Amino acid sequence: MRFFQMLLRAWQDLLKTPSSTLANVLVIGVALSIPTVGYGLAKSVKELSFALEHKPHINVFVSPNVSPAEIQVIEGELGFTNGIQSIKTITKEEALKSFEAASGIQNVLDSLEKNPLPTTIVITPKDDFLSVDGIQNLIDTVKKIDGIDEVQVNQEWLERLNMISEFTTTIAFVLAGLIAFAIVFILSNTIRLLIANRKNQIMVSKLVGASDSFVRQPFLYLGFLYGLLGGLVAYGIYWIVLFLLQQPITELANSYKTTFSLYQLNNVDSATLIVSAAVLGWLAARFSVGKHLNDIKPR
Amino acid sequence: MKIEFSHVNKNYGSTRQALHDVSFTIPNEEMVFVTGHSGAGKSTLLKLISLIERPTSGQILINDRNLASFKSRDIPFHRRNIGVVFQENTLINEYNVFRNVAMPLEICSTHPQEIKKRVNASLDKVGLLHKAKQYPDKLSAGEHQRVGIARAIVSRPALLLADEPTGNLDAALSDEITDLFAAFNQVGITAIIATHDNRQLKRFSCPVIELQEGQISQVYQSSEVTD
Repeated sequence: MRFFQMLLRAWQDLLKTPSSTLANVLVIGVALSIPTVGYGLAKSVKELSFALEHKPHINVFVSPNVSPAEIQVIEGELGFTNGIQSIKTITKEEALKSFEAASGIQNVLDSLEKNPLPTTIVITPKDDFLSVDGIQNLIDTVKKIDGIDEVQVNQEWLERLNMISEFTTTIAFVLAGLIAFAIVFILSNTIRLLIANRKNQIMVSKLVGASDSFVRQPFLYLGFLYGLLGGLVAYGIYWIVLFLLQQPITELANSYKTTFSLYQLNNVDSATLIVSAAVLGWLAARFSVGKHLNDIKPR
Repeated sequence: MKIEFSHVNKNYGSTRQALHDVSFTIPNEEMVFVTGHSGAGKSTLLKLISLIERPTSGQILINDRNLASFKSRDIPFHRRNIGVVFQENTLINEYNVFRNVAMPLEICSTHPQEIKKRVNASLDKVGLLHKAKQYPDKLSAGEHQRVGIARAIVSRPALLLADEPTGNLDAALSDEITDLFAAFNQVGITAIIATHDNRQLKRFSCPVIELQEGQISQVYQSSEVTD
């Protein structure tokens, strides 16, 4: 109850100086939107889908001691697994034949005691599983099936994408850190000016017996509110960027015969952005108040 | 509120000595004038009582409690027992008269209804109830001072400190303001009034502490004052 009362009072204070409030909120919002967009791009890369002609296959190698009947069981199980479009089984005999054909060496088996090649099941994933996370999920699921030795995918593109995504995420976080730092400075300066403007008020409050926390509180709420509004602005900017980029990116993706859509912030992302912005504002105010309030006599 | 100074010294920096070996006792519910030229140490004396300043040496007892034992976090509670009135205007221009007077109550989260009751009673006592909704820039100098007094008494303090409360006012207004202090003293509030207005001293019969260059030069009854 008291929280909202204080927040309302801080809001009324901000409305008293609309132009400087707007300027501050926009600065904070634009600053915060930079790491937010970076984060969104990193997420977008992770969900990138691939051109149909480069569709990856997952090769599942069956353990050598598994009988043909058991292989049928594995095939059955794969048939029920979500995300698999089709499977094709290459028995060890077929594998040997194609090896002989490819290598030109005949009757390899004659010189060996038994066929060293494993039975392989080739999985074609469904289109909506063609992303870094999707493929990884599929691999994890398939690995749990009994009788499977190893699961392989053409890892290169996967790793490369992962790297790009992680790189972008790292940049976004580094930027977020730097910008948080900048925001603390911008806001603490704003709060410092507010404190100077209300010097008389603070002085009188202290004289009539206001505790430090009573004097401090309005500024903390102001900082909180600045952060909160800045966070909302950053959220808005993200959607504007999304809206502006969607069309050209779709066109670009189409020209590569692939689909690519920008990441849309989910509820958790949005809440994290706005709450951390508000907390940042509160911290900045706390920092500034701690530094400047004691300059005003009486202490 | 009983106030006892014993051998109090106050230096600002290493050179300026504001008070030197000051000792006196003000009994509870007394009204006392502190006089002297500007710079004699009147303001410093009041600041020491309200813990705006700390003495360099010596000891100050308030109701037999040593002020040195108050930590910074106790200071707000100490000040809530003291009403302070200054010469210069200390009203907040952004607040109307009502909210200015309500400040001492708001800081200890008094119930809004109680605030309303007590602020109105306080404004009524200084004769400014009808100006509750006005802003300080619309008030005269005398009205300013009366709002300041209403604010000082609204929390029913045990002690009233006034630093040159009539410094900017003409004779009639000065009489009016000092009479207000006397009236509050009548209902049991200890009052310490710093003034160099000899005319006011003659109108009352109460102790006067005269300061000269930071030392007490004499203590006498105000009715003894002659021109």
